[in-house]
Amino acid sequence: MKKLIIIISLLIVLSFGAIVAASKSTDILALGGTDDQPVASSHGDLKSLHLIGRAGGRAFYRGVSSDSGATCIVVGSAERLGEPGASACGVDFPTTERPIFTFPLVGADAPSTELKLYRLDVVAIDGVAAVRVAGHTIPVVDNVASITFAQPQPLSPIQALDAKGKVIYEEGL
Amino acid sequence: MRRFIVLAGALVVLGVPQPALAGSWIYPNLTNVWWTPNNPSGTPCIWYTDRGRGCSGWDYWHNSEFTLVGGGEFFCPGTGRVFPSFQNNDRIRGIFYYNGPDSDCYAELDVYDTDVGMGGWYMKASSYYWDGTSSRGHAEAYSGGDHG
Repeated sequence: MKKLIIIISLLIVLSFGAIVAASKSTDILALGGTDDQPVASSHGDLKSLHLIGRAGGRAFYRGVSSDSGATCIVVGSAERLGEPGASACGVDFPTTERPIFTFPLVGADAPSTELKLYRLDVVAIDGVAAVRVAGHTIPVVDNVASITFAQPQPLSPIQALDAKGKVIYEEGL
Repeated sequence: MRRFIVLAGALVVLGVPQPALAGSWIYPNLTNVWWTPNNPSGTPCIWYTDRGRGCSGWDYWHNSEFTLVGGGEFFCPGTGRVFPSFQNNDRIRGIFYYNGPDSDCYAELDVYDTDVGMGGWYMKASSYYWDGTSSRGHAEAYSGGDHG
């Protein structure tokens, strides 16, 4: 009888663990894209890279920090698959409060000190159809979007749009 | 005889080349360091000296990282814009991260030199706590294959 109770308890614990694991997977699937392939990382500080998608010559991944174990959003050149160009680990994305995660490449050239936008890479949850910045609207395909500006743009807010073109989120830049 | 062996051993250890420390730069110390939108930390920066900032010395930096750490009396980890970057006298380039209010109490924000058009340059690595609530954290820079 005692053995039976132990076995049943064990099964309950295992089932609960499976449910928790499944709910975490669902979070990750919210930005699964279509590729979602495992990719070998060329940097030891990031592991378990999975390709979310590609856009504008850029490759987007989710991964895990080797230092902290936190979930990471990663972007880099699509020509060098697995080589991160920028990464953010432990950030508040993806959530309904924050439906996009942005990697704005900004900079300035002397003698001007005005920061300008050179490129914008975006990962978006399902339901985001486009992002808008500096008067440019960039479509989101398979949860990712990217634009490189021929002329650097003044910094302005980044907006996420739904399929009807309604602004559902805005982030200062 | 035993003293001689110990002394000889110590001399051998001292004589062995130690790993170069120039390949990484971690600043400031983790202990109770606030990053606010105007406090300096680390060696002087060239750009935006009115912002919360930390800069490394000069090297062929490959990776610039800012790590936000929450907990205790500090915001967890704080809301604001963080700008890990690279700079020299002519230009500055980096990623202008927005850190939202629901982040974990630990956030690592990285940028790599080649991805922002400054691969192979002799430059400073920099991190700016551009605006937002004060927080705790530290900046790191790595050259060569030291990080990743």
